[in-house]
Amino acid sequence: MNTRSELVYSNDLCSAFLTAIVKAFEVLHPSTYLGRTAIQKLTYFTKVLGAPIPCSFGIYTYGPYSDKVTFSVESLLADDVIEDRSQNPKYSNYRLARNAAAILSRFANDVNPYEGHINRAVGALGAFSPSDLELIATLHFIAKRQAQIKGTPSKASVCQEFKSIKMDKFKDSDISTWYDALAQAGLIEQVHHG
Amino acid sequence: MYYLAGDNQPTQRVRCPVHGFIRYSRNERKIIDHPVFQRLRHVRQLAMEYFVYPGAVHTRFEHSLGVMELATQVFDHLVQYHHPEMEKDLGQVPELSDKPIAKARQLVRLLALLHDVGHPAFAHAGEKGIPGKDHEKVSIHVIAKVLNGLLDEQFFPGTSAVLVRLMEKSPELAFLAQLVSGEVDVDRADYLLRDSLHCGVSYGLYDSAKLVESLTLVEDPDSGRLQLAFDRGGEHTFEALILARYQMNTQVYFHKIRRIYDHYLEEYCSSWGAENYKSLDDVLQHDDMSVMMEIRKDAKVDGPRQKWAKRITERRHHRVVHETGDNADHAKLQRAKRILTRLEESFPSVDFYLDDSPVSIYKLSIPGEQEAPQVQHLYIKERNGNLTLLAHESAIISKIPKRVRTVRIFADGEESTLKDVRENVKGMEKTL
Repeated sequence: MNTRSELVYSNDLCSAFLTAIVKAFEVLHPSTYLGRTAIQKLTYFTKVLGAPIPCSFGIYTYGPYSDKVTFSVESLLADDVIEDRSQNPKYSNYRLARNAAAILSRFANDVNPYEGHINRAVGALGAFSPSDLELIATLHFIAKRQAQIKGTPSKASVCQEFKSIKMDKFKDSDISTWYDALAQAGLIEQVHHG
Repeated sequence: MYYLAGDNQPTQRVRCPVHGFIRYSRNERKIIDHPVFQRLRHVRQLAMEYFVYPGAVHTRFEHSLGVMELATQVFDHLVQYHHPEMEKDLGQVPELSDKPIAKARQLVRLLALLHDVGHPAFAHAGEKGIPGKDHEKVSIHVIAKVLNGLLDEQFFPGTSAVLVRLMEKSPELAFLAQLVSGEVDVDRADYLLRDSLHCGVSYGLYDSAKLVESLTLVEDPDSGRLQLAFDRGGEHTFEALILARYQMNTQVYFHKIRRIYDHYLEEYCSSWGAENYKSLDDVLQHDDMSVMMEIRKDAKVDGPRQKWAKRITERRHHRVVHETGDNADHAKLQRAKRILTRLEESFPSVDFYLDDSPVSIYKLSIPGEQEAPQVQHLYIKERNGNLTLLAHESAIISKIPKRVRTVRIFADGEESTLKDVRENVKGMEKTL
């Protein structure tokens, strides 16, 4: 027990996947903030795509949330795997720090096969604002729920329920655009006509 | 009351130290008498917490019965005031379209009864040794593959399938799942009272009768489905419940002695489970007693598990030399890490272990939070029918930490050396 690595709090697979998500984010969205809400939603969507991230998400009022992700982010910060580069204490902006290579190397066999999943989720959704991510997560939540109850739902059906929930908070054009983005990223199963 | 026909009348009863008489039907007795459920008589609720609180020897068996009782009290209270809305909401679930209230009541009782049926020996401390490392997967296996025939035959066709969806917290089942695992769930509502009673502490006490009476159903403005809420005046009982959760976590569940024995059990069960739990069914063949016998055997034999087994049987544990307090933030985590690194360099003969125990206390959005992942709303239903956010209204909730994280450095070595370690830590705590 006396050999101590730099990864005291974050020596686990969930933390390794989060680090890989931050890494992908740095490459794909170098000038966008990566905060607490965004990292929750991007982890959720990466898991939806099939990456075996060992954390469970509860579906709450505002969509998916995982305690494990929240605690892992704190652990990654404490282990200098990621750092918060935000100048504003109200917001966070996570980027890789000096011990990132250590965790990515240690869990390479488990994480690297899912690099494509991570890039798809981060690439398609990473540039969205926290408000957009609320929109997207809610859209996905509705589509998933409708699929569970009555099979693959149509775009109209998902957007209609979304409007009844969020009222006028989001523009129709935005709802439609983000629905298409989710479908393109393979995060919403679509009804195929003809 | 709304019962399914035949042998579903509550003709049997058993005494419970928390809830008084708990009643159940002949059909439910067939589940209770099944070996997979009887196994819970020998799975203690709090693993080796009895090393701290000698009375904490109660089991998952009585807790499961208690959750069933409390879930029924809440369901019956809700149906008394919301029968038409519940019938309409629950009727949307295909399996419940016929007799939705009676079927939902039975499902809630069964879900509560079986929610812990997959716990391995030593419960959470033994979880790392089982396939999938998650007792809920074993519970789902029991419902879907072991008890499914009995459930579907004794109650109604599709019972096991709906129970699995409830275990998986499928959103289509709305408030039924919320009742057994949510912010005001009856699982925690029972174990706080029960653990307090058996530990002989008062931290987990709150007014459970008032909690049941205060619950109501409202239409969630987001989803349009029914969700649990509090009638105006009931919010203070909820505050007491959250405070009880906070106190029990900090004073009982994360007690330093409990934590170090959980560590030994985790290490032991990881190794023992890898050899003995080849399938989910294997988990159901063991309980605290059978694994304790293995621990006793391993303590006497040279092998990889001996050191963990001996610590348990000889009650010889590491001592705390540094702890962060209950709310370890980023800075405290880093300081503990620096202290550990220096201790390991200075005292190579001492065995150090860093314990990190994070837990969520509640998941409600509170006012003033910046960029918090918004997760759940719980409403107060005003007398005029309007909804107010409970966490925004309560002056108490926002003061209770949402999460608790305690980091401790444990050490084991010669007593004289440990004295030096403690002196060294005192110095570092002032300077680092």
